[in-house]
Amino acid sequence: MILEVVLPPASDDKARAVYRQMAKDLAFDPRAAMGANA
Amino acid sequence: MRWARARKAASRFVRHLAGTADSSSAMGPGTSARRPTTAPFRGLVRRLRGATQRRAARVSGSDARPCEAWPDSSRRQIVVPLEDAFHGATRAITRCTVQRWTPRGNVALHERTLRSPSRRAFAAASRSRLAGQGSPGLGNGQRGDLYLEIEFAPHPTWRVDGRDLYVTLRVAPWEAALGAAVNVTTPSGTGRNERACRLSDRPQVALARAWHPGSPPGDLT
Repeated sequence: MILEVVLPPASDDKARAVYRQMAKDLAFDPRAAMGANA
Repeated sequence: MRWARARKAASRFVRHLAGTADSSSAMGPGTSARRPTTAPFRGLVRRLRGATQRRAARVSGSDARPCEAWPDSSRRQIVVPLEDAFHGATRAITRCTVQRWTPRGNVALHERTLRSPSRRAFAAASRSRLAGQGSPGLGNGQRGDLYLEIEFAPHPTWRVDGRDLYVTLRVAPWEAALGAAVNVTTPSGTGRNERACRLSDRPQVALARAWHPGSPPGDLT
């Protein structure tokens, strides 16, 4: 079984605003554990 | 030189056999029961003596040719870190080869250590030829070639497939949805080797000419 995470598309202004608010509130760096960058 | 020793050894053996046969036949009437067992060997002794003498004459003659043989090329597999493909490295390769014959006729093994200048050889995991560094030949035969089969050690971040380099890049949901520009540092170092990567809805993004060793260079994906 392979799990695939599917994101809602940022197809309109409301969806894009939600993603921007998420990035602002969470302050999450997904590459922090991989060193400086990739 | 070896033939001379072999000839002497064969001559001693023949004399020993002949002496045994002669002494057995001269042991008197009391030992006549052994005569039938030694008599058939006289013909064999004569044939051995004749063959040895003919062979010695042929080898030591003026038309004798030295024994020469070229060996097959040797192969050696080495595993190098991926970073060596960018920065270059030198590897010491120790090989056991037949170097000489001992005075007793045994083969002596000799360890040779090669230092391979390897930036070119490690440019891509492939095969590299070191001319004249293989196993020695026989007699006046020259050394064969040594082929290095170079493989990259598994890397915790990067995966090499042919000339292409793959990395799994973690992205946040908003980066995947809205797109983002991230810097990807190649194994060659930092600074100018960072590549700006524009994320999109494609699961694989190829950065052309990012994987620069080799000709032509591969892609960073």
